[in-house]
Amino acid sequence: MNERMRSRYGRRMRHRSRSVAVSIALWIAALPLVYLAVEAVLELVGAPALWQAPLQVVETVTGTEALRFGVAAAAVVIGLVLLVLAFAPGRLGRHELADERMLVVVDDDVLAGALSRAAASTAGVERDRASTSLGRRKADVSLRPTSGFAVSREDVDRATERELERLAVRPSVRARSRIEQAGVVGR
Amino acid sequence: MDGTSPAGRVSLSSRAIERTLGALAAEELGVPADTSGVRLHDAGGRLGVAVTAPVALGRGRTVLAAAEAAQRRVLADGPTLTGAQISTARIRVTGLHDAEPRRVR
Repeated sequence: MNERMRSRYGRRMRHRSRSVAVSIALWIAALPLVYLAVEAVLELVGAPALWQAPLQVVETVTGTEALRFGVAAAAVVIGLVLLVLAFAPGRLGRHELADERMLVVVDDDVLAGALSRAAASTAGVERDRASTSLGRRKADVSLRPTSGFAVSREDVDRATERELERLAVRPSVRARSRIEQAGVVGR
Repeated sequence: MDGTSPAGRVSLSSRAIERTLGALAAEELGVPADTSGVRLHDAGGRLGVAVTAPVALGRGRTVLAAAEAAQRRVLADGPTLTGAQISTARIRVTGLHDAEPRRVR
């Protein structure tokens, strides 16, 4: 697998597919066109309209105040939703790990767990005393120390940085740790 | 894993800390270690210690002086023995301990 394919597939797995949004948008565009075509043909052969003649529909909508605003508002909402779906990056909360042979994509939960574990083992506390929230570019690690046993923030920072370096996460993440003021009496 | 520290983890149980601090206080109060009780709580990341123990009779000092000596002992020697940072030590004297063996009637 060459570098280009790798980054393309990686991108695919880290972002949401737009196919559902695209197909909904196409349906929304297609239905009125089908309706117009059907009514036009019926009009040409002189048959009565299937539902209502298109011109009559336009008249009804523009004639009634409530209907006019309703249709306009619906159009605005649908338009905005489609714009957001089109331009938002649609990231999925995943990161790539460097590997020579394979493309490895992990959920951020997994990565956060790895950072928490590195922090907890450095601080010498139980695994459940560290928690990590992970964004695309930065990770916030917070650690609850054992009462009476101070934890050095620099050590925890170094451990999480080393873990990130070891995993070679992409896009790269910066970890920042916080030692909570209150501790917990160990068991 | 990272090569800087050996594999595994060393942790000190709170029970061990409690017994150590209890023995320190008991020694200063002149009573057997098993008569003391210790509770630990968190004090802003450091350790708060509360000791309850009786005090031995007749050592030429007041109960209050003995309790204060026990408090100083816990604060001074506790950290060296356990490695924990201790912020406060409360000593509560719960009774008098008669060190003399009772005469059999």
